[in-house]
Amino acid sequence: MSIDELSTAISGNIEQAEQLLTAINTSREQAVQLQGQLMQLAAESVAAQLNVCAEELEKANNQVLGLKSQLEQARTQAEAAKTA
Amino acid sequence: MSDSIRDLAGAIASLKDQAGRLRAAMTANKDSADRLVGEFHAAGVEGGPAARLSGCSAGHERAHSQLEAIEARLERARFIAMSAISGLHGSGTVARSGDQANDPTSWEKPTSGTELAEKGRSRRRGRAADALRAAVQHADDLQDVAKQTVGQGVEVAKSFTKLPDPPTQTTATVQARPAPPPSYADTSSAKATDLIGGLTLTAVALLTGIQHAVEKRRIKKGQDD
Repeated sequence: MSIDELSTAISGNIEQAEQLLTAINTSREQAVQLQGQLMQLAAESVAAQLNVCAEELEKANNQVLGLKSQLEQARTQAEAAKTA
Repeated sequence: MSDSIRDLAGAIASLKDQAGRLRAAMTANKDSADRLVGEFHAAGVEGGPAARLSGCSAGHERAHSQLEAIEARLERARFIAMSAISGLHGSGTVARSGDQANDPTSWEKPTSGTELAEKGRSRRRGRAADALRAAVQHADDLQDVAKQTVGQGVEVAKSFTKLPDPPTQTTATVQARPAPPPSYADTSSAKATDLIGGLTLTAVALLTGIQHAVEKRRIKKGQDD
């Protein structure tokens, strides 16, 4: 694999990370929506569990943002290797 | 509602798979970066591009660890969602629906007596429910017997404590006829046995009744939650 191919592959990984980010956000919104419905049904304890679930997804979201940043740095270094 | 949460859990499981695939792809890229570094080193290039690619490889390693943490967090979120389904059934908020065998995130849901019945339930679940109903019926019967036994016990106790009339008649002979033994003496042993047996039965029946009442209260409390 050449440096160009490595750089392209890393770009593909960044794209995958973005997709993961979007999907996690969708699930988080779904969890929040279900939590609201359960609150209306007066099932507070179950709603609280879904709230924790939504919080975990929010944390995962932030972690993926960090991952994406990490991959972008790796791509920058690969690009720099071509001109160094 | 239960199906919606199940869908959410399934979606989170897919996210975890997606993260796993990304991790595998990143591992491959790290290997490629390491290989390129090796080639530069073999060509006698230590700094410059080799150093940059080493940094790229190290960045991939950190990203790999981050993804592992993300997967663990997603697994936790999925577990919480599944626990929420369990809580939903345990509280009797909704009836279970859908076929668990077809569920991609299939799991062994804990069963409880408060779960609402449905037509398509399994034979095992049906047997368990029948057994539970029979046990409740028996407890009710035992409670009735206990009430009767308590009544009988009170009657026996009353007769046991009732003293006979003293003998008043004597014969004309010199020697007075010995007084007949009191009527309760003949039957006291049998009556005492009956009393003890009755009280034992009463105690057993009362304990069963209390247990039944506690169970009913627990079920009612679970339904109220």
